[in-house]
Amino acid sequence: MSWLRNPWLTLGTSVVLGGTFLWFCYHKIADPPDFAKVVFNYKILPGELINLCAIYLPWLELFAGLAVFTGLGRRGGALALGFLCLLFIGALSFNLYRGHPTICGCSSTFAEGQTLTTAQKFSQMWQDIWRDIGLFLLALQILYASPRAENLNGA
Amino acid sequence: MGKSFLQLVVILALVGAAGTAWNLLHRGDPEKYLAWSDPRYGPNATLNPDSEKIAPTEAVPSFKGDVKGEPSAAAPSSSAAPPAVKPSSEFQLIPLVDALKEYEAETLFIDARRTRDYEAGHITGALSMSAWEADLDDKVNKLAEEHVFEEPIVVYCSNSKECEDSKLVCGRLKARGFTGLMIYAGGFPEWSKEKKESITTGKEPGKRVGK
Repeated sequence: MSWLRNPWLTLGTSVVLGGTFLWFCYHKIADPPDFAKVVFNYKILPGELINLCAIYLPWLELFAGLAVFTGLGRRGGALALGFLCLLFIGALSFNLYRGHPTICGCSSTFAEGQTLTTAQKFSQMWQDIWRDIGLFLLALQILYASPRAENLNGA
Repeated sequence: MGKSFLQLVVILALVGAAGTAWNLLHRGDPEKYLAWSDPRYGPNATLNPDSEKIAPTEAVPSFKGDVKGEPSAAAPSSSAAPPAVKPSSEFQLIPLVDALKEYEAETLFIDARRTRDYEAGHITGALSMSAWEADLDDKVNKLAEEHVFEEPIVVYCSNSKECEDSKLVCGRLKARGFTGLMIYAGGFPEWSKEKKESITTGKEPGKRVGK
């Protein structure tokens, strides 16, 4: 499995994972009320937490994405992005399980997602879950390949 | 793990600082600012299966004082008896034909979509009251000073049968004391197809034809 530690692979993975989340966060930061609507549409969080989530989560995507993309804090960034991927996979899976059509809001605004029919929304949710699983695997690769501090100290 | 944890802490600190600063920076802009904690999306905002059903035309209660439920064009809206808002269905969804009757009776229409969508085109005479913008409570309070609580109000958004903006706005209006609340199910997309002549663009509500 030494190929998984290939520095070029890690560099490519970092660019793809970091770049994807930098792309994801842009429209959320530009229009927080639209993202609040997306979070509300999941029907998971209590009302009091919706705005807090809409205010801070896009910035977590931005800074964690930047950390992974630039390599400044790659492991910490990958940890955060891996956690976010699990969060999105869990939320989308839960809504699929209970039959609640949800607009992911990951890469598009609520208004764009609203044009989809219910069947299209469910289909899109599956696609979003598979994409998030892929992104989670990228985060795992970075965590596996990037040296830990204790390894560096021991070297 | 120590280094990763430290990096994570630094990222979280940056997130806290940037998120807070960005939101405070937009405090004066209701289209971008979010209240830190907003209970408006709480109990009133939960999905209610009953409220998804569109009431048939004949079941629409009259707000013109007619006990049989048939709209009386002669009676002005202001003399209306307060309609009973059924708690089980929360807010009544009305189809286009009833929305048109209310429009002709000069019932107040409220646009629950985002301000930018309102400015791009809205039902002539409708007030803008976005469910997702920070000045919603101010607008509701202003309306409470100008409008009789018992008078009928029709709220619409992009697609009221699915999107919940109308329900959120109705929830705020109901909490403020308004009782004659209806939701136009077809929303702006349907209206813009059927009543193109009754659409106005820009920030001002515009005047209805014949007024």
